[in-house]
Order: sequence, then structure tokens, then C-alpha cells
Amino acid sequence: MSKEQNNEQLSALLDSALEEQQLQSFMQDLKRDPIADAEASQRYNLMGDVIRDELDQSSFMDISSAVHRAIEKEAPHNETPVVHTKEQGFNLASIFSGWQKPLTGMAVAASVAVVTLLTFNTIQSTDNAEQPAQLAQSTPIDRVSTEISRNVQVTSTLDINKKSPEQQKQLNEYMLKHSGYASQSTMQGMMPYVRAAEVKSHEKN
Amino acid sequence: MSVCESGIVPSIVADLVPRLGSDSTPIKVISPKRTLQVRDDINNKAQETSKVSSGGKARMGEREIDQALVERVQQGDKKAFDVLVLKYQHRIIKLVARFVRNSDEVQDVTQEAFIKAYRALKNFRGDSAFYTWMYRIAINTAKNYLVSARRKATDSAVDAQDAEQYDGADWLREYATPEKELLAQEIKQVIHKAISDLPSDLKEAVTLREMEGLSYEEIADVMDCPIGTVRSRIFRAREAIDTQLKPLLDSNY
Repeated sequence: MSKEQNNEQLSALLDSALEEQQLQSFMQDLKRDPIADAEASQRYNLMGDVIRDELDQSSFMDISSAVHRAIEKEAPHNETPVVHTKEQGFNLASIFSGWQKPLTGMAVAASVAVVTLLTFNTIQSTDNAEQPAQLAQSTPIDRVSTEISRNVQVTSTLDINKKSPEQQKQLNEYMLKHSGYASQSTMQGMMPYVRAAEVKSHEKN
Repeated sequence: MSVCESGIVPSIVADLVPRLGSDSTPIKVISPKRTLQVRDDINNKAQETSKVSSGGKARMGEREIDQALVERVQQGDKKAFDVLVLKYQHRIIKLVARFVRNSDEVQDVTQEAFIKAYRALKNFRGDSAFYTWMYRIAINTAKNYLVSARRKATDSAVDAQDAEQYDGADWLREYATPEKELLAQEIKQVIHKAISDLPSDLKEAVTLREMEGLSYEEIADVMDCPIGTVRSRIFRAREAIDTQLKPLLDSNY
């Protein structure tokens, strides 16, 4: 492509009047001289400023080369970001961090199992003839560590089938009251995500 | 009825063209009312025509051209960004110069705005035109610069005697020197003389483009010729002016 054709394309480009094919051709022309293009475009713009009587100091400015140099240092946009890792050396922290979540989960699960077993044993040893009020007070739920209590689900092991309907009703009321008081207090010894709503007896076949 | 047949445009061009290059005085724009009337007629006609030029090639508007360039940048082609800079630096420099007066600072802020735009281009989805987006970046960069430098946009209406002491007088000191004033006058004279020497069709084409800001399509309607001819005429006019202008600039820089 001749210099004249180059400049005609540049002239049209500055006026946003290139056809699609011409734009492709303009972009793919490896022989283009960016400095010559910048100088020519500056002169074309200068002409426009004079014709419009807008000539001032900014008419003489050109930053295309400076921007070109700055952009050269930037990564192209199609490049995927590189994750910088230490390729050599044994990094215990990084390995541990990958396993941290599963390990924590396992620790919590183990704690829950231990607490459930302890709770189960304690309740089993409690006298069945205990009064409902005593039951509510002696339930060793306050042994549950507050740290792991969030994940604990306690299944009642009391054999309430043996209670009369009146006793069951009273027990129910105690449980609900206790739950309500606990929620108003600092919740120590109570499981924050467990609220007793009702105590039901299950018929045994 | 075409715009040319209506007789509106030729009379305006006839009003306009003889004034060009007659002397070194600035060219005045024709009455806004008449210009608007012409533009309306042209736009109405342009809407009726398809977006395919006589050669059957796809014609791209400014937004489409810019979007094509943006997509190339997003695909990793930095050269496409050079083209965007080439295309818009003049407008952005003028914009920034409204906020920042010192020429070095204007260039720094404009450069920073383009670099910011390049970095942010990855997320540009074309919801707005590239220039609108770039315009906002440039404005914000200029304002941030002024805030960070604790400077205020200067008022050029400063008494000449106070100019040397005035904090914002950089612009006056560096631009309004006798040498630069002389050069500016010479440039104006050379360009006006070159325009006056142009053949009428070239003069008309470049004037409608630069003074009236008409698109090539609109000029083609006004001059009743193909767009390719408009492109060629505007380019030949610029080249003819450049032949006179380039030696003057080369001898001064």
C-alpha cells in the first residue's frame, strides 16, 4: 500500500469513515509507521482547529507515542492472570491451608460424637422416677462446650412413654419455659440453634 | 426530493465557500438555524438509505468502528489501542485542557486517562459508546488530579501585569510567548491560503467536514456524489494543505 493510500485511510479513520474491510486492512498493515501516522494525524487535527478557529496550545500536543510505550509494559488483555506460587521448597503452611477445612470439620464431628456419648451415658444413669423439675435442672446439657455447641444435636433419650399425659403436659411446659428463659439469658449451657417446642411420646410397638 | 434538489444546501455552500481563505480572519460558521435545517434534511434522507455503500461494502458508524477496535484490544491486540489513541487523543487533550492548563500536566493527565482506559477495557461491554466511556474516564482523571494536586482550574481572564505572579499563569507564560504567537499566526495564514487555493470541490468537502462537522454520508448527500469520492476529496484537500503546512512545522520543531 502506498503512502498516499495509507494517509487516505488515516484521514478517513480520524473522521470515523472507514469501511469494515478498510479498517481490517488498516489494522493488518504491518508496514505502517506509527510515528508518521501520529504526525500526520496531528497536522490534520491542526488544520481542523484552524478552520474552526480553535487553535491553541493543545492543538500541538501528541501523546500517542508516550501511551504506546506505557501500554507496551502492560499485559495483553487475552492473557489469563498468572498465579504466582513458590515452585520450589516445601511450604507446610500452604499444604496445611488446603487441609484446614476438612481437618476442622473432622475435629468438630469427633467432639460432637464425644459429647453425645457423654450426654447419653449421663441421662441413662438418671433415675426415671425423678420429678420433671429435677429432670429439667439435672439435664447435663451445660457440660456441652460452648465452642462446639453450635453443631450439637441432642436427641432426648428420656423414656417419657412411661409418664402419664398430665406429667407429659407438665414436662412440656417446663421444657418450653426453660427454653424461653435460656434465650433471654446469655445462653450459656444452651444450644443456640435448638429450641424445644414440644415433647412428644413415641409409642413403642 | 433530494437535499441538493431542494436548493437549500447549494445556497449555503455558496455562502460558505467564498469566505474560506479570503484572508487570515477566522471563518465564521453559518447561521445555526440554517445549519440545523440542512442537517435535518440530510438526516431524513440518510435514514431512508441503507447502510450499504454503492460498492456493496458494509459501512460502519463511529460506534461500530470503535467497538471493533475495542474487541481487538480485548483479544490482546495492543495495536488496536494505538489506533483508538490516534483517533481520540486530540479530543481528549482538548477536554483535559479545560480543567488543567499547564501543557505538561495536560499531557500527563491525558496519558494517564488512556492508560486507565486500557486497563479497564477488559470490562468494557459496549453499553455506551467508547468515546462516552473514555470521556468520563478523562474527566474523572482530570478532577482527581486537581484534587490531589490541590489545584483549581485556572481562569484565563487574568490581568497581564499580574500574570507573572499568578499561580495559574503557566499557560500564559509558556504559550503566549511572542515566538509562539508568531508561529500560530503563520500557521493560520498558511492554512487559510492553502484552502483558498483548493479546487472548489475539495474546499467544499473539507469545509463541510471540519466546520459543519457533517459525516461523509451527509457530505455525499450534500455534494450528490458517492462516499468514496467524499473520502478522496477530503483527503486530497488535507494533503494539499499539508504540503504547505509541513515545511513550516518542520522548520519550527
